[in-house]
Order: sequence, then structure tokens, then C-alpha cells
Amino acid sequence: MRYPSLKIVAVFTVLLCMFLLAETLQASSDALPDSENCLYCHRYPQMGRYDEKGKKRIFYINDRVFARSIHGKLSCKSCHVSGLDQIPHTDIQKVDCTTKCHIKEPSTNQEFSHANIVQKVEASVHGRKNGTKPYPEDLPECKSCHDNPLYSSLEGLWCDSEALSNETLARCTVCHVRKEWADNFYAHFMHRMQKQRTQKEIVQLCTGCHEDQEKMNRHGLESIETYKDTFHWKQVKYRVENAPDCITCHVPVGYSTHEMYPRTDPRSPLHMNNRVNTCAHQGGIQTCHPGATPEFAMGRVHAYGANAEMAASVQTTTVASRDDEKLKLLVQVRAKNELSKKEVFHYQVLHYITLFYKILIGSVIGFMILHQFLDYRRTRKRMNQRHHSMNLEKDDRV
Amino acid sequence: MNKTTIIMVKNGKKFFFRFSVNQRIQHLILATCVVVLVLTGMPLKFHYTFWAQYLYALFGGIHMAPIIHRMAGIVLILLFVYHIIYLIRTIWRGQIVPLKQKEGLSIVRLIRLLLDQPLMPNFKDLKDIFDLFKYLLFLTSERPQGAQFTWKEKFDYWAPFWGIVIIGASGAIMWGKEIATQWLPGEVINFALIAHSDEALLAALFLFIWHWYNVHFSTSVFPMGTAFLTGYLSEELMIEEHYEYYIEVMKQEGFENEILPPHQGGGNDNIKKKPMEEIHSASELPRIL
Repeated sequence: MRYPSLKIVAVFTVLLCMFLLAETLQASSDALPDSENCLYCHRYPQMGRYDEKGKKRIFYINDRVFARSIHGKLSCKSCHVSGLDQIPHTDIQKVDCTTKCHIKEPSTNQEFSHANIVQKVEASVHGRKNGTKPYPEDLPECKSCHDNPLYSSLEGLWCDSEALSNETLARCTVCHVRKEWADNFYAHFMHRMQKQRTQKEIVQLCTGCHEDQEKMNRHGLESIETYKDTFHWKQVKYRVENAPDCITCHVPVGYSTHEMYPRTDPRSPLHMNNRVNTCAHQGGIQTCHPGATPEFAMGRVHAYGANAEMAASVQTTTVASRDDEKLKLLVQVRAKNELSKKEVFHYQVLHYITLFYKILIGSVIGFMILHQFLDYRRTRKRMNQRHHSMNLEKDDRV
Repeated sequence: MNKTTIIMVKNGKKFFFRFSVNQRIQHLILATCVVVLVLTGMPLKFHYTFWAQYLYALFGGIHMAPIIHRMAGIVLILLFVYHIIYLIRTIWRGQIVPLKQKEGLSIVRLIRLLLDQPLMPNFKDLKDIFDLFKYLLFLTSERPQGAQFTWKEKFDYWAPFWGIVIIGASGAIMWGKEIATQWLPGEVINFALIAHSDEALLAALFLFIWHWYNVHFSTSVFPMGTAFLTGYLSEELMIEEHYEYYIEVMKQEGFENEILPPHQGGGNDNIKKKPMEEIHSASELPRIL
């Protein structure tokens, strides 16, 4: 008996070995600095457990994937600072982004941390303000918006050309001889130069909270699904390049996502003083409405005045007893303090136009459908009768 | 009016003049524009539905469809302007100038003349609506006897008339919003958006439910009324819908002996047929625009 497939099996085995070897080599070059030897356990994909609340927690770390992420050069203990001495870990603490991570920031030569960003967020609309804001658990933390994204491959900045990227990198490595360092630096630079999220993803991110009616009510805010009525969203939806998402207007060029303020604050791009510039979007990737006038900027992009209705009914509310009444009151107070009379009037007109069309469409279409239904019934009847009488005539003749 | 044959006899069948070539072309342009506008506009209003993206892609997606939409809008507005000029010119030449020569012009006479236009809504329409519903609900077997244009056709005419004004104006405001807000308050853009899209929805539903049913799907015209192409209406439909006008025209054109009885509620012999003379007395000459 002959084994004709033996040769093929041998070739296949050799190829497989080569492939695996290559993989290992690749892995070793990408591997993260694991001096604490965390991967001794955490490299196993089944690593995990159910916590007290019955939630499945996965503790597996894919070191090759992690090494390609923006935090890939950090050791585990840079962020997971305490509670790791016991095994299995019992008293582990949540990662705090203000932790100094023992990397020197080159411009100041100081140890780097995200503390300054956290401070800015604290002072902005999204900050907890030392617990003075109601329902602090609703407010976002770093991880609500940021995950640990991967660096993209060597393309993108120069017209999606890998060759050009390699050429640029080659110039770097003339002086900075450690290629790994140069690669990392270049990847970091490119990562900052590109938008990491598509417009749709940004809208999804913001609407994750801001479309949640209950959550918004708790803070006296209006839910923003009305954004999806605008042409802005439709451009995003139909994938127009540079279509305006949330941050295009709320964080235009020169502003920071971490420093957002209410529109009554002069530091907000939506403050009446800054609006014209925001709409015109001068200095951005593109100019959106270069001819924007102050009146143009006064128009509401996505607000249909749920607040205004609240403000109108503010006098009629008595002492709030139930929880939802309390919430209503909060919305009303905010609406009363923040909306000018002119704005309330504007919202009322909008409301009445919408109502007018609801009634008009409802009544006209209702009338038509009724008429057509009756007409169909009547003509069918008439045709049947005519048919019947014609048959009778025939019978008579016979 | 002198040139057109009011009643055309072909193979022993009579056909009644409805629309001139000019009017038929106007209607075709209007129809094409409206259909294109609806198809390129609705995928935006109903962007959250599954069909929106496919329909939009058919018109070149968001890069092309808005351009098509605006072009069709421009054509429609031009047509509207032309129609207004046409309307004024026709009334001026056909009615006001003869009136001037005959009786002299006064404001009262002019207003009465304008109110007497065949497409002007009047009290007879109200009565006809009431009577038609009586007929539809089997309370009577007599259809109301329509004039040259019934209330349905007046509805068909004035709905797009009003629609083009509202949708055209709001569309223009949204198109040139930076220019518009040099004179208008910024809120007007918000109002325009709601008016444009809701009015358009109304217009589209009107078109499908009302107009298309009446001229295509209704059992009396199915599969398609042909008057918008040929300009002439069959005797049967003329009797059913415009009996008052039918008698007027028949008498005027010298077919008095051939006038047929009105449609009854379906071959019901119990209903006494009135003699012709009682049914209608032709009062004045029909005016055709």
C-alpha cells in the first residue's frame, strides 16, 4: 500500500512550522514589557470568573494586540497600581487615569499623567463638581468615551500610501536608530493626526447618553433625537465626507472635548457671541456656512422646545411630591433660567406649526381615505346591479 | 376656443374636450417634477426606514439626489410662474377684453368675473360634496350633477397650487439659508424645514390617495383615465362626473336630441326618470381656459 499523500503532509507540516515560527518571532518583537510576569496567568484565553453580581469578567490579555494599542508600551502596574500582591487578586482597585505612569513627557521632562485632562473635564459640563451635581453616576468617566484603541498600520496620513509612510519613517531612522522607537513615535504621531472615529460612531457615542430620555430628564436636559431630523445627520448617515456630527459644532476647531460648557457660558462655541464663527467653521477642514449671519446662527439646529413647554407650565406646578414631579420641576427651573422669552416664543411657534400640519394631514388624508373607501363600495354595488339587470334582460329575451 | 372641437365624434362615440395641448404639457411637466421631487425627497424625510437608502441610491445618493431635487424644484417654480402668466393672459384676452368692449370694465364686474372662473370653489361644490356623500352612503341613487370642473378637480388644482407656493418658498429659504437670513430671522429656517417636509408629505399622500385613485384606480376609470393625454373625455364619464356641464355642451353644440339620461344608482327602475327639460336649463356658455 502506498501513501501518496505523505509528501504533501510533510510539506504542509514544514510550512506550518515556518508559519508558527514566524508568528512567534513577530510576537516576540511586539511583545509588551512584562517584567511583572502578569502574562504567566493572563495569557490564557479562558482566564476569567463571575463576580459577585454574576457578571462575567474576562481577564485574558492578548499581548500582541495590546502591544499594538496606544498604551502598548506601558507595563501592567503602570495603571493597575495597587492590590495586585495577593494571588488570586482580592482587593484590586479601579484604574485611575490621573495616575502618574512613569513615562517622561518629553516637552516638560516630567512624569506623565492624565490628571490635567481630568481636571478640565471636572470643570466642564460633564464634571461631577465634587458631588454637587445630582445623579453623579450618570456623568461620564474617562472610559465612557475612551477605550484603548489600536494604532493603525503604516498608512493614512499621506493619502493612504504605505510607501510614503515608509519613506518618511526612513528619514526618521537616519538619526533615531532604534527602529522600534521610531515606529512607535510615528504611529503615535499619526494616531493624533487622524480622526479615530467616523462621524456615525461619534453620534452613537454621544447619543448613548443624550438620547436617553430618562437620564436627560434627571438633569433637566432635552433628549437630542431631534438631531436626526436635520440634514446634518442625514449627511452623516449617507456617509458624506466631513459631514457634521456632534463635535463638529459642539467642539469646533480651537475647542476641546474635555472643556465643554453650557451654551450660556461665553467659553462655549454655541454661546451667542461665538455662534457665527462656529457655523462658518473657519479654520477647520472645510468651511461649512461661510456666509453665516448672526440671524442665521440664531436658528436652532436641533431643538423643538420640550423645555419651552415645561417653562410655560412652570407656574401651574404645585409642591413636588413624587420623584418624577421633582424631575419635572428641575427641567422647568432650568428652562426658566436659561431660555429667553424670545426663545420660548420661537418654540411655541414651532410647536404650533407642527401641530397645524399634524391636524391638516390627519384630517385631509382621513377624509380622502373615507371617500375612496365609500366610493369603491358604491361603484362595486352599482356594477353588480348593472350586471344583474343585464342578465335579467337576456333571460327575458330567451 | 374657436379652433377646438368641443364634442368630437369618432366611430359614433362622442368625446368631450377637456384640456388643450398647452395644458396637457403643463400637466406632464408638473407630474414629472412632482414624482422626481417626491422620490428624491422622501428618502431624507424617512431616512430611518429600510427602503430609504436603496431609493436614494437610485438617484445617485446624497451627492447627486439633492442636485436633482433642486433642479426639479427650479423647473416646477418656473412652470408655476409660467402658469400664472398663462392664467392672467388667458383671462385677459378671452374674457376681460371682450367684457371691456361689450359692457365696460368695473371693479364689481371684474370681481364677479374672477369668482365665476370654472375652477373657483363655490357653494355648489359644498352642496355637491354633501350630495355625493348621500349617494355614497346609499341614501340616494342620484349622483350630484357636476359642472365643468367638479369639486374633486378643484381640489386637484388648488392643492398643488398652494403646495408649490409653500414648498417652493420654504425650499428656497433652506437652499439659500445664508442669504435668506440677511433679511429674515434665523428661526424661519426651522419653520421652513417643518413646513417643507410636512407639506410635501401631505402633497405626496394627496397624490397617491386622492389624485391617482380618482384618475387611475377608481373602478370607473381603471386602469387609467386618458384625458390627460388625449385631452378628451368619454361620454360615459362625462355623464357620470359632469352631468350639468354635459347638458350645457350638448345643447350648445346642437346635440339636444341625443342627450342621455344621468347615471342612476345602478339600473334601479324604481327611480323615476325625469324628463330632460326638467333636469337642467342651460344657462350660459361654458368657459374653457
